[in-house]
Amino acid sequence: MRPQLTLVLLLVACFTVATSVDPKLHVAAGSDDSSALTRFMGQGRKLFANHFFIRSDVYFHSGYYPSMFDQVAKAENHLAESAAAQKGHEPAAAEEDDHDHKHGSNCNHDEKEHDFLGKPKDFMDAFSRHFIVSQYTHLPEKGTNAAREILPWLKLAAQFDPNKIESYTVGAFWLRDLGRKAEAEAFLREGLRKNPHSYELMLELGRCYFDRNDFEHARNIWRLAMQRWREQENAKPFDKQNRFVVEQILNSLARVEARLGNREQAVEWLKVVRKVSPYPEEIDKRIEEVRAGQLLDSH
Amino acid sequence: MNVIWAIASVVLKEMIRRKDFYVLFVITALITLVMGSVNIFNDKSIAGYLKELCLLLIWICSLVIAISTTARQLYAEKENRTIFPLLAKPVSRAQLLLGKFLGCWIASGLALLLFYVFLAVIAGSREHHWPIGSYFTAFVLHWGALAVVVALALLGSIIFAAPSSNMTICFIVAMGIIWIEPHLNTVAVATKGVLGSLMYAIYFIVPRVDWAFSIRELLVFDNPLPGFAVSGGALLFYAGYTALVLTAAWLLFRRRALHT
Repeated sequence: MRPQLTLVLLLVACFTVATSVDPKLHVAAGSDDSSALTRFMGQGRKLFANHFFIRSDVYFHSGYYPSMFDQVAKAENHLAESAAAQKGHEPAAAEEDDHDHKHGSNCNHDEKEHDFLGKPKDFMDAFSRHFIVSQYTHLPEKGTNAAREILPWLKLAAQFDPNKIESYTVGAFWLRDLGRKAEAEAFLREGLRKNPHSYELMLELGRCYFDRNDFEHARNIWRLAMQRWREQENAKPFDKQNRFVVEQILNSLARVEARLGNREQAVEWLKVVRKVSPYPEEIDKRIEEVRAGQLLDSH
Repeated sequence: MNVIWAIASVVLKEMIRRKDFYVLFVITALITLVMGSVNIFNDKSIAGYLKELCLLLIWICSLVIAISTTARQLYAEKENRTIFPLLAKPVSRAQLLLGKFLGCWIASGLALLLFYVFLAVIAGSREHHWPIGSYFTAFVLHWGALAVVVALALLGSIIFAAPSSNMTICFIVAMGIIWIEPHLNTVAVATKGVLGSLMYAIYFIVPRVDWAFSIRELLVFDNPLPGFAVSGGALLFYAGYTALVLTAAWLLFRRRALHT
């Protein structure tokens, strides 16, 4: 048989099998996302989404960011330190925080993380550092609008993986920070259309409403967020629950009730916050502030 | 010198006639302009992602142009049998090699210049400032790094049997240097033992094309570029390395039989 004919036959066979298998796989995956990207890249698009999300973090740090080689070396050093500490019954070096924060003005990387490059290992390494970003700066320090450079990567991450909630929440955070409130709201709505049960997106959207003094809408969406949180998190074991977000939802509810003049309701929400907060004495102070007629705007 | 320049000018004319550069330039311009037309939250002044993409495409295109132009030079002369009358002129083998190197390097430089002008125009139209000095430094370092790549491709065309294998190997080596070389010392320290020492040796031997490549990040994040002394040091390194590779190529080529 001619090789061309064999190739054509194989192509026809592949096409036939694909038309038969593809719908079944689609049903088995339980996904109703039939965008061109999903059809073209399958679940591989999530890898790209993660890459673009990390890229936004690289931009936030103005390019000063550990490569995967640095991260592996750091992990090895960390393991060695822990082993040495265990051997000598000494406390290991402080655990570093996860890197999935929003990098606001309260961004708090420790010194060790800043200095992932360490001292130059040799003269070649020392010379090479003239050609790379070797100083730790945040992009917003370069100007009030410099943070906008982060946005394309978050938009791309959201396009590649519409179920990656962080892309929307971090993007909306920066858009609001840049004063682009309408765009932040539109971006969150887009995320909510694709993830209708996400309480994180509802929390952020409520903030947009609150910022434009639409307190009724803010209260409604935060209540819905609280309901969704209960539906999704109550069944989980206590230590697996997303308590960081629920504390924010509850605080937001207390804040909006205080704004609407419902002081008793605000106090009720703060009492719930008190149960989950690691700093109950701080919540007691807020309860006193609400009772004294303050608006909780600083929290 | 006249002989070397005559050979180089033939290579230059050949590149102008060929369509490789035009195709690559149009692809780069098209991708950059399409990405530039994407609406990012109604903000038309965001330029970082565009500069990053454009610089990446420029690097890929420049490597393709430099390697593909250089890798086929000696093979074409041998296949068309034009190498025999050329060497009978009299042109020495060293002059032939230098002429080919110079032609390919200048051709790559001219193509690169056009790419950088395009980048400056695109970035300037968004950022409304024109850091010409930074672009010039990046261009000069990039061109210096290409000298090493061109010399390596010329050496490859003497060692390997076919232009396709030479191009593939040169491209893999260049990409490997760019991607792994800056981290090889970190990996070597973590690896330890004989393998670690071997990696460290490779780290010092391999040409640092990655220096010029890393400049991209400095441009994208508007960081100050290396000064005159550091850039001069890097260019000296590239010049020395190029001379070394060309000498090795000449040592291999001077006694090589020319029949195909």
